Amino acid sequence: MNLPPLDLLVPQHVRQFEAYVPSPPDSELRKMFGVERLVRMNNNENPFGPPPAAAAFLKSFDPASVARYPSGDCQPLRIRLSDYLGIKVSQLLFGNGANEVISFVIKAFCQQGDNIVTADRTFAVYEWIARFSGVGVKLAPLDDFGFDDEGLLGLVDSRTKLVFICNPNNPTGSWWNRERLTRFLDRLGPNHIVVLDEAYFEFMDQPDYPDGISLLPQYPNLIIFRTFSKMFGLAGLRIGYLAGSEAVVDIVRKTAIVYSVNSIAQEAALAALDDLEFIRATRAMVQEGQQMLAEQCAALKLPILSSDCNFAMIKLPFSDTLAYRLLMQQGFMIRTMTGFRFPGWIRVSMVKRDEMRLFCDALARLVHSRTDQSMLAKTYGVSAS
Amino acid sequence: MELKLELDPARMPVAVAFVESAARTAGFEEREYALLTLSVEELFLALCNAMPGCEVGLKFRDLRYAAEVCFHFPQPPPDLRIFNITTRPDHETDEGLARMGLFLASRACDQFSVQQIPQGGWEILLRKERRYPAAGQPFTPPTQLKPWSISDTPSPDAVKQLSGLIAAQYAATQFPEEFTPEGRLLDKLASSDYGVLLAQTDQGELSGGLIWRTAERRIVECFGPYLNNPADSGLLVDQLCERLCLQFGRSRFLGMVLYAPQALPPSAGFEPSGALETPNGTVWTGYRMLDEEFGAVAWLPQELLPFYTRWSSSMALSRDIREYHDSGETGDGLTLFGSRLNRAAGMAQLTPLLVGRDAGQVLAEHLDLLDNEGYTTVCCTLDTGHPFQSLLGQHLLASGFIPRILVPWGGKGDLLQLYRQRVQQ
Ligand SMILES: Cc1ncc(COP(=O)(O)O)c(C=O)c1O
Repeated sequence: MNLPPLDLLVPQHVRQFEAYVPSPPDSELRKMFGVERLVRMNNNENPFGPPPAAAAFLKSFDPASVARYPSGDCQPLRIRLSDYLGIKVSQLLFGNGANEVISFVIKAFCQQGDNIVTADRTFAVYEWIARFSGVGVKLAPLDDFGFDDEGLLGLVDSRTKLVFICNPNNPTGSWWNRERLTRFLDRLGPNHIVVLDEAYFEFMDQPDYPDGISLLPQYPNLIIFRTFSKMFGLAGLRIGYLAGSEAVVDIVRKTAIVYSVNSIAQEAALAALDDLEFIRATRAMVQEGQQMLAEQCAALKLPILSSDCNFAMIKLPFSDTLAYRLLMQQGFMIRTMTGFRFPGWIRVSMVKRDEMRLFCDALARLVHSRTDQSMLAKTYGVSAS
Repeated sequence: MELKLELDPARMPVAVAFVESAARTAGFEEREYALLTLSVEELFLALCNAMPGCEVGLKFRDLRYAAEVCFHFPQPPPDLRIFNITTRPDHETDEGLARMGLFLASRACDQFSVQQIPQGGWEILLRKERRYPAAGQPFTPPTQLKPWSISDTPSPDAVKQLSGLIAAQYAATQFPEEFTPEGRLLDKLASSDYGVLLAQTDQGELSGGLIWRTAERRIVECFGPYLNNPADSGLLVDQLCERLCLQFGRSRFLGMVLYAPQALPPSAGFEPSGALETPNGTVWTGYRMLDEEFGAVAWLPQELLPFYTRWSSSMALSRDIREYHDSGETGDGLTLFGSRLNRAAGMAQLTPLLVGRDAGQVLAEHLDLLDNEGYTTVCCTLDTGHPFQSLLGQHLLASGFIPRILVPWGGKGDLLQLYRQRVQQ
């Protein structure tokens, strides 16, 4: 077999990039870890599933319709959403999840030699897409678990095209209020695009949490990301969007892939959109879960970062990746934070009461079993002198 | 630097000139590269014999501390048993003489390896290490140890201090020979395969440090922390270990193994994965997975199941353990060990590169040789990702090897380190 000369064909930045390995299907994991049930607490999904109207649509879905292409630019959904958000249809652009929208934006604004600026410990996909696209990445360390405005501003240079702010931040749950955000935008000025990732917008219940879309008239260099994966429980259908000023969105549209959002996702999103009761119920579940977890961590003396978001971060007195394996053996799948540059921390997504109760118990068992000092000498099997 | 050549004895001088000029450009002295070019010459001719007319790719890599030449060719290599350090070619027969060249090639370089590569074809790697003068100043322990700050780009002088500290305060069995003398350590650190984390006081005095090295494999090997005052440095150990996790947390590596000259507290984030006790000092092994792991199949000989099961369950590894049954297949053909010798520590490391039905005999020959040369500790690894290596298990146990350390994902699968220790006569 004669392979093509990959050394010559593949650009350096692609060769150096390590592909992301997604987890295997649940059935395989259950078998591997020897459990009958696996509670997913790793991807910040909604344990309620989609809102009832979206679920009803999915049940009644006519298979024959998949023979037709979907709306190439999500026109009906954009019309409805623009009305809901109070902006123009042309200010909205959809993608196959917010992840694809990140890629559209980086492609639209960056060429080799340019850079993006973001935090060192935030959602990793901005950094990944920039890196495998040959775009520079400048990372400002978080300040007390939050985005550091000074640090970010200090990194911006003439080749900085995009500044990514995750608000609230995944994984720490920290967020900028309206005043801090506008002060940052004012100081940065209009010469760079600021991407405000509001993937968890619908969970936020704080009076001074800013709605990025309301800032668009004042800051036309702003792009807002939202997704149907988190609150709306449609992660498996892959649908997310961006909103921006018309001129900016027109540019990003050039690099967008038409037809990349399938018709089932579009219809389900339409049905999910304004179920306020569902949002209320989800928020209540999140609040209760956060409280249960905070109490358990207080009892175990584990530091925890709680927020309105549907996840919390917990610091363990031992390896997070070991905790992952041990919790998997008890049927709970959490996210390790070493890869987010938080070694020893785990991120836990909120689930319904009964499952959260079981998780708290499992966490307590885990911590007790692994902090027993006498275990050390025992496991080494040699004298500790 | 790379060169492609037809395997024809007439082209041999081109290969030699290529390596010679690359080594000279890289600043190696003639006495250092002469043996490497000799190896290249002999290996080239042996390959001409085995696969005349085929194309061979030659790559030279300047590692600073070593020069490396890689041969890439399309077919399985000729009989490589000659590369075993125990083999003596037969001067009496034509066949023996024909193999003399390969024998010389393997002895003239410091390290070699053979592997089938996923992109297709085979690779033989020859490496010749640079020589260094002995350390200059003897190490004097500093008086003030706290407070410290940690750096991953310390000054050359601080690295020399670390090399001195290691040589002065630790047994030869507790660190790789390559960390001394100081010039060699500095050159290793200058290559991207090695790195260091040093804790120093404001006055620049050394409190301790850690050294890591990476290879093509999926794990980072770390050594240390080497501490000025092991008695009260728990916090320093934790901080150095956390810095390691930060450094490699988002990287291509699946895990890190730490060979520590003292027991590791759980707060350092490393899980115990075995230990090696020697009369002069113990090496404690800790393992840190960097990623979420989804399990794997592990092939093992029946004799090693108790050790493996105990450790893999204490580390909560999910493994589909399959016991290897010998069905009489040929396996890799003939047995070949890669060997690394640490004379100062009396330690030898055997890595099975190919395992065949002659494994027991080849192993016995190696042990005879190593015993005669005074090596008291011999380590041999088994890879649970290579079913056929299981064949070696029974021979290792029968020769007195005891499994001591488990390194998850240390090879194609998990790596078991077995040790055979003899009390010095
Ligand atoms: C902050 C943030 N942005 C974007 C995404 C991606 O969302 P989507 O599922 O729409 O691609 C996620 C998902 O985890 C996220 O946490």
